[in-house]
Formats: sequence, structure tokens, C-alpha cells
Amino acid sequence: MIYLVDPKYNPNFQGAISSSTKLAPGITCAKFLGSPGSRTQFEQIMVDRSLVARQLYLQAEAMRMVFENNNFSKHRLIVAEGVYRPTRNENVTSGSINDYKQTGRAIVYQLINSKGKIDLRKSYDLAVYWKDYLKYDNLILDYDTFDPSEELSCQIVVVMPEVPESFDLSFKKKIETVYNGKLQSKNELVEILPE
Amino acid sequence: MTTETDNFKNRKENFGEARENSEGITADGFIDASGEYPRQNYFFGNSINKSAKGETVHELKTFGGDYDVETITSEQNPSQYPHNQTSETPAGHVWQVDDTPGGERILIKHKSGSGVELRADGSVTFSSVGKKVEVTGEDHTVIVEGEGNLIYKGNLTVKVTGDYNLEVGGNINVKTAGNKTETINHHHTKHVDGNQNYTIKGSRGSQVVGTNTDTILGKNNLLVKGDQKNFVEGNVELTSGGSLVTTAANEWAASSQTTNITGMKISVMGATGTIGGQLIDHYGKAFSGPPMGAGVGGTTFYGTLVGKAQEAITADFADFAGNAEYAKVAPALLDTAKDATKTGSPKRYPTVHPFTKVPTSAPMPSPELVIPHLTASNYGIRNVKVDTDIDDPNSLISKILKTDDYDGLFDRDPTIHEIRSKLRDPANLKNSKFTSNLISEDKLSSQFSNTAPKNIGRVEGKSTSFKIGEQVIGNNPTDKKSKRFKI
Repeated sequence: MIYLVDPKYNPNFQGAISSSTKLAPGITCAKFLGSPGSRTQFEQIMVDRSLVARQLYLQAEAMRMVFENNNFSKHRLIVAEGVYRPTRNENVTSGSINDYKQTGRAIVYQLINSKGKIDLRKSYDLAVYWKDYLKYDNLILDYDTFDPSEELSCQIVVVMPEVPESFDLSFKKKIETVYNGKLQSKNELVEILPE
Repeated sequence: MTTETDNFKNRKENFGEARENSEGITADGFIDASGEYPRQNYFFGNSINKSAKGETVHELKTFGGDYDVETITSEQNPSQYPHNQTSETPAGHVWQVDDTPGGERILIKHKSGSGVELRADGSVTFSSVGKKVEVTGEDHTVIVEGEGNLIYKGNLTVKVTGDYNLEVGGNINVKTAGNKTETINHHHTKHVDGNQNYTIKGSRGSQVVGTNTDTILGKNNLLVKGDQKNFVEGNVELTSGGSLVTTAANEWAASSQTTNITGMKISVMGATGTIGGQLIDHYGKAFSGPPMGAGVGGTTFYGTLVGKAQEAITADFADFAGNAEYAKVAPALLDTAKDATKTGSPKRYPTVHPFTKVPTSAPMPSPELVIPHLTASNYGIRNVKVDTDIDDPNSLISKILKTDDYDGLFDRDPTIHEIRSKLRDPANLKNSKFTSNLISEDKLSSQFSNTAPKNIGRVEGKSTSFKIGEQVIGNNPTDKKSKRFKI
């Protein structure tokens, strides 16, 4: 199917792509480049910027859905891991999330409440909301206890299909739940709670 | 005079006859003429605004905070009737002045969620869900007694037409994941009262068109692990108020068209080698060497000696000798030897040299003297090692680059966000060297590999989720009118 793109924000019509290229109202490429999990700049990545911008356009649409939804009006959707640049000697596993993150195909989000903490319950609500209303290739509800405090953390990974210039796309709409890097469930979103 | 008929005409002109006939005006003044009220959520109840009674709370749309940054100012007590004066328009704009004891509040809210809220403790919240523009015609002053957070999710540009003065009582910490570029069109002056330290993982270069002057009142140390080359197109002066020592483990070379070495006391020593040249003049007090014959390791003099030798064991030619045992060709050529009849007699060397030795200022530089001098004296060759780790000659580099610490996956101390990002690659998750180092540095939980969650809650499958309606059915949501009547 041909994905309908807002011509005002269509990366194909935006000329030179930079960090200030707008992808949606209030959303620029910079939002996906300076994330705390993977900070990088367009100058440092070797991938075609237009491709990255097209991928990020879909991600911006996903973010916009959340901003406009009153159910999440007291929560902020944060790009936790944006466009990824591996270190000099790192070999990224092909087909991994980090591989997709290099072009913006995959972006990792966190939902923060007004106290500045990850809201686990609302994060699950968001994952369900996206599952129902967003178009995607793979939606991963990701939990972990990686923090030295062993506090439970929740992220939502949105993987989009590779976007050609024509925006002719097909979405697989797969879902899964992961805990500490281990797959817990395919085709289901499982809410994992703190002890 | 304005009459009800005029109003009817105006409405007909403005909205059209069809709409006027469908909506019309009420027959009496006790029913809402516009058809807006009662709103859907006020059916079967009184028309007092619910927020005035504390049943609902109008809030600004502030979204959430950021990592460890709160957007909530303070807790707010619920409103009590009749203290809360509320005005809400059909579109959803709200103006609220709340005198509830302990919950005093003023709210101006746009239907989008933007607005201003003043809470009971005096805290103020401004919210704009869209763009925000502030324009100040004259001066602008901001005073904050507490702490502040400024978070931009996009780019930020600050332009100052005049001077930009920044005074900080504490530290300034700047972190950038990208480049930092400073362009200064005039001078750059920096005063540091304490120490200054740079760690550069790549290369460093500086270009100076004018003069470069470093004034160091203490010591200056330059440690180089690799090669060092100094190229100077002009003159070089290397002067020292004390001693100047240059040593090289392999070779030390000094060459010039004219070379001058001057000293009140000079020592040039070596086990083997050459000193002198075809047109070199030698001046000195004594010339010493081992007392053996030529070609067997003894001292040999080639050329013509003009002057007086105090002692000669053998000499092919001598104009004058005060004491000579024999001279092979003296009788025939010069006839100056004392006893020419001994010509041809066997050589006879004295067992004890009768000559009077001219005292030298230093012992002869034999290999037994030169080698310890090179290796163990103050003037010997220095053993140069910048990286002193015997097992790992590149330990300093590894320490700075942190390549060993994180198996090449990080070149700096990572945050938990960066660690989480790296662990999304299955290869990194299985990299025990990487993870164990992170655990040992207390950057990663030791429970990271525990893959069994202790508690689970809701479960949703792939099919679309069941939703409970949140909107009261009744009003037409497009124009918010529920009543239709004709007159």
C-alpha cells in the first residue's frame, strides 16, 4: 500500500536533510539523534540521510499519535534510543534491533510521568494502544532490570518496514514481549510488574 | 429600536434560512436559545459546573516530565462548592477562580490544554501544547531562587547582539556527543588559577601564524611514546642555565657545515672510532695510548711529527735523539746516532720504559671504562619507557581509550541508557567480558541475566483490544448540540 505522507513534512520534498528537518509538528530529526541511549549526529553516520528521514517520519507519526491522545496527556513520550552509531570495532549483528536502529527503522521509547519516572502501567497501555492503532512491522514491549538498583524498566521498541522513496509499504504487525533480553511471548503483550 | 424580529432577520442573513428554520429560537426565555446546554455530561443533573463542585478538575496539558525532572508543581486540594467560580465556554475554554480553603487556585485554560495555572502554594504553571512566543520590548529579568532544568528535544540557538556574560559560582560541566567548534574573531584569553588537564584520544594540532611563547615557571616534562621530530626552518637555540644532557640508546648524530664545541673541560671518549680529519689541527698536552707496536692494538701515529719526542722505542727517522739504542738507517742517511755500529743488531726492548710519563688529566678511555660510563654513570644512556607495564606495552593507551574495560564496545564510561542500548545486540548480551566488567563497576545489575519475571499482570493478544467507551453518548460531537426543535 502507498502510505499517505503529509507533504509539509515529506522528507522527499525537504531538500537537504539535517537535524532540524521537521518530521511532524514539533518533531525534528534532532529528537531521534540526541537520545540518551545512542547519541549521534548525521555527520557521523554513513547511511543515506534521506532514508533515515523517511524512516523517522513513520516514527514521528507514532509519537504524534501519543501527543494528541488525551489518555497520555500527563505523560511524555521520550526517545530513549534513537539512531544508532556503533563504536569503531563493534560488529552489529545483522537483523538485530541495533542493526535496524542504524537507519531509524527501530526506535526505542519510554513513557515518563510528571514525576520524571517511567510509568510502567501507562507504558503497557501505550503498547496496547499502538498495537491497535499504529502501523508497524514489529512492536516489542521490553522490560529489564539492567539498572544497578534492579529497578524494573520498561521500553517500547517500534520497528517499521524499510521505507522506499515511493512510500509503498507493507506492515507485518508482529508483537512480542521481552524481559532482560529474553523473549517471553510472541503474539502477546505481557505486562510485567515489579515485585 | 431592536426587536425580536430584527434578531430573526440577522440570524437568517448570517446563517441562512434553512439553519434558522431547523434550529430557530426558543418560544420563551427559559430555554437556551443556542441549543448548547445542557451539555451531554450535565443531563439529568443541575447545571452548576462540575468543577465548581470538585467533581471534575480542569487541568492544563503538561505531558510528563523528563528523566528525573518533574513537571508537577504541588499537590492541589479538590474544589469545594461554592468557592470555585468557574466559567466554561461551549468550545471548552475555562476560566476558574477558586477560593476553596487550602485549595485556592486560578486557572485560565484553552480548550487545547494550553494555559496558566496558579496553585494554592503560589506555584505557577504555563503550558503551551503548540508553539510559544515571548516578545519583550524592553528589558527582561529572570530571578530563580531554586534550581532549574532546561530541556530542548530539538536544536537550540542563542543569539546575543551585545556581550554574553556568564558567571557561575560552582562548576561548569559540558558534555557533547558530537563536535564542539568555537570561532573567535578576535582574541581568546583564559585564566586558570588551578590545574589544567587535557585527555585527547585522537590527534591534536595547532597552527600559529605569529609567535608561540610558553613561559613555564616550574618544570616542563614531555613524555613521548613514539617518535618526536622537530623541524625548524630558521635557527634553533637550546640553552640551559644548568646542565644539558642528550643521550640516545642507538645513535646520536650531530652534523653541520661548521661545528663548535667549547668547554673548559672536555671529554670525548669511545671504545672505537675516528677523531680528526685531513686538515684538522690537534692541540693538547699529552697523547696517550697502549705501549705496544703498531697494528697490534697499540697506539699508532701516522704522518710527520715535528717537535721533540721525549722517548721513542724505534724510529725510522730522527733528526735528534738524546738516547737511542740503535738506528737502522741513521748511519747512512744522517749519521746522528750515538752508536751506528749496532746497525742490524736484534731489537731489544726495555722491560721497563725509561721515559718519563706526562701525567694525563683522566685515565685512558678503554672499553672497560667506556662501557660502564655508557650504562651506569650520570652521563650514560637513559632507559626511556613511557609505558612501564611489562606485560602490556600499550597499557596506558588502553587505559585512556578504555578498550579493555568494555571489550571495545565503549570508549568512555557508559550510562545505563547506553548500556541498555548496547545489550539489544544478542552478541553483546552474551559477551561475558563486557557484562562482567560492567557489573564489577556497578554499572549493570548482577541480575541482568535473570530471564524469569517475578510478577506479571495483563496480557493482550494480537486482536484489537476491547475498549470501554469514555464519551457520553448523546450530543453530536461535531457541533456539540443535542437539541433540535422548530418554532
